[in-house]
Amino acid sequence: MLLEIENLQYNINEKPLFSGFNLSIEEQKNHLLVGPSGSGKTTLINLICGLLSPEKGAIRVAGHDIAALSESGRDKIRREHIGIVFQTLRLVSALDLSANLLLAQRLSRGTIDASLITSLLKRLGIAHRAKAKPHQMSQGEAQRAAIARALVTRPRLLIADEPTSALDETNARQVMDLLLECTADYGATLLIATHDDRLTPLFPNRIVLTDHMLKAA
Amino acid sequence: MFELALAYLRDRSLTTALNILLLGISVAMLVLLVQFGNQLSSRLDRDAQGVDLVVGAKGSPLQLILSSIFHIDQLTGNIPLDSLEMLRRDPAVKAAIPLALGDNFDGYRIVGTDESYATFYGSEVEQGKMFEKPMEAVLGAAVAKTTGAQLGQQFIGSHGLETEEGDGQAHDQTPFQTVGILAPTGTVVDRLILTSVESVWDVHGIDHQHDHQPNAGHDHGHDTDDQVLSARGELQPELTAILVSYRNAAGAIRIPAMINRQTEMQAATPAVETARLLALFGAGIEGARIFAWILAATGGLAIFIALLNMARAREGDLALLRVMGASKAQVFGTILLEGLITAAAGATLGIAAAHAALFVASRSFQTLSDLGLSATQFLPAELGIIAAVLLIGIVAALIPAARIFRINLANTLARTS
Repeated sequence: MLLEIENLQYNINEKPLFSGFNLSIEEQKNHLLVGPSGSGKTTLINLICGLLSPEKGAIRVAGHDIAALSESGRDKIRREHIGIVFQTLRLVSALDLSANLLLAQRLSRGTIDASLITSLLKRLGIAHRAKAKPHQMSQGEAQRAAIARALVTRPRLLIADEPTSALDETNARQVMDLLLECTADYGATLLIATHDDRLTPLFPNRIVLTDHMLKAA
Repeated sequence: MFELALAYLRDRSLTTALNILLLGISVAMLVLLVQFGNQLSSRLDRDAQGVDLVVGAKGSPLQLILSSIFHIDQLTGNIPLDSLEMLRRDPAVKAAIPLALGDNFDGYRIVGTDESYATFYGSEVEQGKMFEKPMEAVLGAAVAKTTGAQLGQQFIGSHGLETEEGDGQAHDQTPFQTVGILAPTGTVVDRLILTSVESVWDVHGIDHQHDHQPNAGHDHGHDTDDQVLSARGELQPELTAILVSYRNAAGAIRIPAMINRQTEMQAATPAVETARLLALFGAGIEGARIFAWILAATGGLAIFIALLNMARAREGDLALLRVMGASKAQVFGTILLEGLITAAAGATLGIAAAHAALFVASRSFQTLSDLGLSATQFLPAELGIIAAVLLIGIVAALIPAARIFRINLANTLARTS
């Protein structure tokens, strides 16, 4: 099992957002995490990534209980197993695209795989933008660049938070196609948190958050 | 992370450049002050080493020291030739070296003296021989190098201490012949042309045949007004100054008092006058040094403000770095590096600018050139300045960098993504 959440308890302002929450995702089984605003999608992602600590429960990523680890231990699990794509925060602003990918590899693995960077940039159709700074890219290019940045470390779990919400129909479709194709090509498992209904038909596995209760669709 | 720190600095290049410039100016000022103070002090010490007393015409004692030992000021006047014998006869005097000054060649002073002057400064003949006959001259190492003069070459001295175009006072009828070139000593001798006292008298048409004694210096004439005329209306041989070193401590007590009270001459002590000179410079240098450190602190403050603003504006970036797997220490180190790199660049710029300024100044200003100001000499104090400026850079970056420990990743990401 790639991701296992058991009996999760997490409070916001002392009110439970998750209580006795359970979830498991197998390797190579992509999931869509859906729910209305405020249902806790982003909070759940932050808990899985180790950016937040739960009150209770276990969150196992690739067999490691990230909830039980110290901050540096959580950094290590995130570095080694998880890639994250955000809606707008995509790349380090001072670096160009290729430097961003090199930095991501160095931070994650301590080594550089230039051929992987080249193949990813080609695969995502942004090889010609390798020397572009983030502010010089279009929305669609920047989101593809964020996918490249997340995949370049060869994560087992790729988490995307609202990756298409800021994109128009064409770009959203392109980005989703690329996300699905690339995660398959590079052996990652995709978990997308979104309220973008356009994505629903693309995912057979969905996790629906309603009143903080898990409903498997 | 070093490349990332560089990339962030490049990203706000104007601010970075201005901060580097601010620090560079302060470092340059500090280095110049240290260099000038140190080189001046060591130069004065070196040139005055072994000279216990200078005897010359009445006037400013500092001027007498500057003109007779360091050869950087106007002369005070002439003194009688027999004063040399009077001093040499004194049992407390170990050595009395005559000086007859007043002319130059290509800006380098021609010093009428005897062999003991070169020996006194530990100077040895590298090529040729020491002057023996009138109108033979020996060039200091710097003079030979700059003018390119070779053995056997003749040159004509000009009246005064610096060559000025069209001064029309060249001594065309009495050329000097180069018979020797001295080895470098790192002292004032390197920038002098040595000849016999008699040569200086000859150049100025002063009859000295019946006065002159072997190996003894005589008068020279520089300004006609200063010359003593004989009963027949002829110029009399005189000297400009005498450098004295004592045989024992008793000389230091008796001789200056005797000269100052019982003769028309004055006795100036180099140690006292150079200390006075350095004290005069010292007050100015100290004021400038305080100003330069204030400037350096301002540079540090500018780095602090720039990094603080950056850390605020870049919170999303910093959070993204953490999500990408960078540890807090790595992100903290990156910001610290930005401060350090800025300070290092400022220090490098400052050091380079200061030495370039020394180079240009020593070639543009005769007085600084005469002082032997060197642009290639690096002092240990400069390392201290560099270390202090690097520390300023680190301290300025500490608080902005420490923000990374307060960033709540989830909140920051929620706000920025």
